Amino acid sequence: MFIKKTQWPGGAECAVMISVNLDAEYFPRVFDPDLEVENVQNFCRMGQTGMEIGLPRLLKLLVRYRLNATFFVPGAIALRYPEELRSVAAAGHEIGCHGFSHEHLARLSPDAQLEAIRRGRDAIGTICGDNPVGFRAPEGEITTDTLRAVKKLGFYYSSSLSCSDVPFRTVLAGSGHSADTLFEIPVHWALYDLPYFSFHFWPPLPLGQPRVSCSDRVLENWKWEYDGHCRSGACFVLQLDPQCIGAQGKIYMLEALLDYIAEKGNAWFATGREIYDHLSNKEVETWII
Amino acid sequence: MKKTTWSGHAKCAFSFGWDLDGETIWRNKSKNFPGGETFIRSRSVGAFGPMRGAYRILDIMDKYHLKSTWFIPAENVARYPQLVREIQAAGHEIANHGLDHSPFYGSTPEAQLDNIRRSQDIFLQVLGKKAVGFRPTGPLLPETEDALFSDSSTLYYSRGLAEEEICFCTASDGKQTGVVSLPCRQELDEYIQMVYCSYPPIPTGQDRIAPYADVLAGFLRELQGGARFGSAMSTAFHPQVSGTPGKSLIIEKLCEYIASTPDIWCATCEEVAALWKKSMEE
Repeated sequence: MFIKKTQWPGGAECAVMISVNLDAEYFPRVFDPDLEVENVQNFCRMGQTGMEIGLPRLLKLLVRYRLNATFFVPGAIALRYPEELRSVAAAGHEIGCHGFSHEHLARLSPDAQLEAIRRGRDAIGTICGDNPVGFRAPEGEITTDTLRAVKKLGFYYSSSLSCSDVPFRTVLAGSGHSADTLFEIPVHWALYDLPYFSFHFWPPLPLGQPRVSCSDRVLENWKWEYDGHCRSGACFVLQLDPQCIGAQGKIYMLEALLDYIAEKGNAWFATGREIYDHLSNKEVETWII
Repeated sequence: MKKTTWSGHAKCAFSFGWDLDGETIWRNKSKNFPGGETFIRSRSVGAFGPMRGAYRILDIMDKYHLKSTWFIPAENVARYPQLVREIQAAGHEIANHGLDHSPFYGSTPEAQLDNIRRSQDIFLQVLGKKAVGFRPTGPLLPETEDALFSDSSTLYYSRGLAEEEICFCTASDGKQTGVVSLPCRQELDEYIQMVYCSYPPIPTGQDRIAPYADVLAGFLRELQGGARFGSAMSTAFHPQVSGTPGKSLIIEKLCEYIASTPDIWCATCEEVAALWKKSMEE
């Protein structure tokens, strides 16, 4: 075998992390990180619907399947929806930081990046009591300074990059200083619901206004992904947005996927923090930027 | 045109072409965006290829006892010498995919030839031999192509064009050269159907990731068409795309089909080009 298999607790064939990006009104920035969203009424309504209808539906489902997920939230959304966020935390889910106002971090100076992530961290800490240890960069580009800021602010891990399908360490200081690294739980677009389904005519979202996917076909992709992850002991990180997966015609996808995984009985379900705890003292690959 | 007799009873020749582009295409793309030289997130999508995807692909090729051709920008040959030597040691062909995957080779024939010479030097240095096959990453001037076509060490060209038939490349004076043109059609490019990044947006219109089962179905139709019309073809597959866990099952299922279909002769581009050239000369 050329590919290296990661060992998971209990001899599981793969790790499964259910992550939720609680972007609310900021979700259009997934497609266009520089977009002005606050004054677009439709975007706000779509985001609110996700919080009011999608989120409770998703939380109920997670209770039913007895699963803990990892929610990444921009600080401003935490402040806008404190009750909702507390209910997520109270249900035992991990809360991670997703910037402050879903800013496009690569556009900011290193100091401004640090400040935005600090504000995001502090907002979550104020509402939930504990500072988050996980960070997922708001969609849009990031720089090495982003990850340096994340490390400096005391986060344990990032879940923002795509260079592997198992956790690795990003070398922040250039080669030669391998001690200065940040633990990374990689993500892939194919396992994120929004890019398959979001649609808006004006402002156009996504940019080319492609037809939305057929949810059955997306579910099939996710099942192929799960099977592929099991073959090489990979880390299956699902990214969900309540306004998408929590909608009446799509929530079945998550149920069907979880039933499929349960039927195979070979997954280790974990939050980001639990994956970090399992691997932080073990040898993992490194990515030298 | 004379119908080629491929190896055994095969009706068509198929070669897995793996473009190990790594970060190059993302870095080159980001350059067009403000501050793009500092972006690391989209580059990480490409880094998946040499860091993880290539190993998964090598496992699949081994499982089905298939030899393939890896088109690698010289920059990546220099950056990942250990991986590239592993690929070579596993019996696969390493072919030339430009210096740094830039679509721009230079503005004069001299500059373009120098660019190609520099990439070939890296191949020689790391692998002990120059590549006999080329998959250019951008257009070359007619004078540059003429020089390449008259170089006896060049066996084949595999361009991303819509051509269906394997043939000899034509020089600018219209004369047929001794360099084989091995088709690589966009129907056999999985990047087009499944690559995704929201920023920089790729594809530009942010189209959806295709259903994997549909992608596989399209590939099988290409193979069936190839067998029907007796053609030769290579793929533009990418470890950073189909080396990801779920998409690698498309490749597995494709290999299963090839293994169970005597109509298809699966070999490296070098083998396909050499056999066809020999059959034309006979």
